[in-house]
Amino acid sequence: MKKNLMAVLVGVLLTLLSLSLIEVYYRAFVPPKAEVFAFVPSTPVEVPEARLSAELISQIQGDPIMKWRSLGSAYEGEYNAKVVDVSKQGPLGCCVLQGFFAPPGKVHSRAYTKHRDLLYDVHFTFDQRSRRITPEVSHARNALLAFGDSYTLGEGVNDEESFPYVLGTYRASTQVYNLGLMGGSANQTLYEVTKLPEKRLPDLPDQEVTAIYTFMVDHLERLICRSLCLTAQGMWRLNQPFYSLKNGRPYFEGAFSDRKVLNSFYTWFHQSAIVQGTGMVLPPQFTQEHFDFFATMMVEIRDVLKTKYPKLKFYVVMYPGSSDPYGSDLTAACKKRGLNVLNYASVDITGLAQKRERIAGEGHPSPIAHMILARLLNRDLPQ
Amino acid sequence: MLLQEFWDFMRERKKYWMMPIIISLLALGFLILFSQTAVLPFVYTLF
Repeated sequence: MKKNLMAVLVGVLLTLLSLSLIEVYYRAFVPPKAEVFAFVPSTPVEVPEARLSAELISQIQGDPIMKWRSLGSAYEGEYNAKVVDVSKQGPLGCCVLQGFFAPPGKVHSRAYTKHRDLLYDVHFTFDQRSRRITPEVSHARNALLAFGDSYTLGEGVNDEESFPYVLGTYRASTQVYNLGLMGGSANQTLYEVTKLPEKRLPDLPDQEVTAIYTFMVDHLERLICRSLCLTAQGMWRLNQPFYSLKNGRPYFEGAFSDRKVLNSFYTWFHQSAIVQGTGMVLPPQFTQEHFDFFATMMVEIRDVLKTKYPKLKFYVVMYPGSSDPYGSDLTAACKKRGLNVLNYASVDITGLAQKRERIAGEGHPSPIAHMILARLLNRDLPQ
Repeated sequence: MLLQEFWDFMRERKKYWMMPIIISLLALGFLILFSQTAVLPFVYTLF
């Protein structure tokens, strides 16, 4: 027995020695594998391209917005710098516990490549509750609250190009509110509606209210903050609100940066050149547990909103293309909990936008992509 | 099946020193093969 234990110990030492040699090799010869922008293939969904009518496709591709700004094809070049005309962190910064709430008024935002080529040059206008402006409706019969992240806020596009704004132009009797936040997530949205409702939410007594939460693929990363959060590129997610599940409901624990022990382990893990060179992540995959957690967060957001807006209809929206490869799993988890889902994960937004669905060299949705999503939502949301 | 054969081999030949190496290789292989990083971090790195 003692001899066997000694053999195992020798094996452990040999393993450590081998790993050290591999580590030295990786440090010397293998560059770190950065997180990459992934155009992942589509998965089967419930709103396939075939169900978009020929009329809708022709409306989208014939819309003047397709010609407004020539932004080139999808992601290319190297993004380097963003400039906002406000000092310190800037109101368009993201990723602190309470979100960044821009002061009312205008903000000028530009992004450049490292060669100083301009990627975008746009203006943001914020209302008194730090919401990006949408068309004002004087006698609105109902309201639409658009929750989400920079895709909803409209980073890289002008006020009138963001999808909540465009949706507002399609609906004469609906007041749309853009509640998107830079770096927004399910966590950030739940924090906002539970802890800061007076700062952001409109007062809408007796109105029919529709709320949407627009999901894209990085929201799962922001939901649980895997080991990538402890890398230089992922660190901005650390300041986001951190929820765990207690008795089947989300429980606010603070910020992800408060997970001291786990964060220390993840930091140590990502210091390894083997880990950096091979792109290892902990946990390596998103599983059903995470999809269920996301759906539970959505249920909680819906229920909290319902206490303020009793006539609420709540929808989870899977952003076209970018929700893959999780669109189907998340849709199933949400539907199991009685949530309404508009799953656009496999809508061929690249084809519809004629390869101009992203701001070239930057990655956020282009004006065309915003217009396409607005048209889909106008088709599928109740009037 | 393969793992079972390895285990039998180690017991038979008393080569228990191989166990940590095989476990660590399997763990590394699993992490490298199954790690998913479909994210877009550069969008926010400067904020």
